[in-house]
Amino acid sequence: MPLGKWEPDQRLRAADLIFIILMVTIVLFMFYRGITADTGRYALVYFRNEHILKIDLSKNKYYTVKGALGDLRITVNDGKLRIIETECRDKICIHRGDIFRAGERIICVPNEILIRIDGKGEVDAISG
Amino acid sequence: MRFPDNYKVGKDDLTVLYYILLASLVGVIESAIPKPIPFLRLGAANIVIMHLIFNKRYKLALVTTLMKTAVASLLFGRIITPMFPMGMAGALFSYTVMLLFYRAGIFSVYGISMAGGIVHNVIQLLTLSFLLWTVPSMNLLSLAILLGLITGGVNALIYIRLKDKIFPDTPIP
Repeated sequence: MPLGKWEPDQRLRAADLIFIILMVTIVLFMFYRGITADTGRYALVYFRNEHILKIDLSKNKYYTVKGALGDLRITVNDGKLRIIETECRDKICIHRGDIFRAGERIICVPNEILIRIDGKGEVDAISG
Repeated sequence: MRFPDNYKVGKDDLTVLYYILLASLVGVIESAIPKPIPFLRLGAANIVIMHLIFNKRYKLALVTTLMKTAVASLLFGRIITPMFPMGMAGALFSYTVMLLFYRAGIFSVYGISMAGGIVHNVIQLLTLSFLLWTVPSMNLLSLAILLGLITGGVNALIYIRLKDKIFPDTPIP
C-alpha cells in the first residue's frame, strides 16, 4: 500500500458484496426470530436496573410508573402494552406503539425505564 | 504543564480545529432534524472521518470523531444522560472498524462506510443494553444493522459525488 493518500475503490467490489449479503442474511434471520416469538403473559418494568413492577397482560388496566424525569403512563389493552404519556423530549417510547411478543421491549432512555415482555422460553431457561 | 509564551498557532492547530468544527457542525445540523425512529440518522459526520482516514491522518480522525461526539452532546444537553456514553462508544468503535476495513485493502468506499454505520448503531444499542443490564431485542438489533447498511451506503454515495466540492484538492497540511 503506497504511503500518503490512498483512496479505496469507488465501485462495489466482491468483498463489499459478500459483506452486504452477510449482513442482510443476519437481519432477515433476526427479524424472522423476532416476529415468530410467542405472545407473552407478563410485562416486567425496570427502573435503573431494578425490577419495580410486574404487569399482568390479561387485564385491561392503566399503570403509572415513576421514572427519572417524571411519571410514565402505561396502558394494557387486549394483551398489548403501550406507553401513552411521558415527560421526555423525543417521546420515542410512545411512538414504539404496542408490544406483546415475548422478548419485545420498550426502553425509555431519559427516564431510565425498561419494559420487557416476559417470554415462555426465558422462564423455562431460568427455572431449568 | 504551562502553555509556552512564545507558542505560535501553527497550521496543524488550525487543521485540527477546522475538522472538529466541520464534523461538529454536520452532527449538530443532523441532530436538529426530527427523526421518527431513533437510529434513522445519516451520520454524515462519518464522511469527514472517512476523508481523514483515506488521507492516512488516523490520529486526527480519532480526535475529530471523539470531539464531535462531545460537542454535540454538550450542545444538546445529553452529556449527563446515557446518550453520551452510547454515542462515545459508537463513535470509537465505528472509527476502529472503518480503519480496519480501509487497511484490509479489499473493500471499496461503500463497504467501509456501511461497516462504519452498522458498527455505530449496533455498539450504541449494546452500550445501552449494558447500561440497563439486559440483552437487546432481536428486532431492534436487526433494525440497527439494516439502517446502518442503508445510511452507510448513502454516505458513501455522498462522499463519492461531493468529495471534490466539500474537501479541497490540496493535501491536508
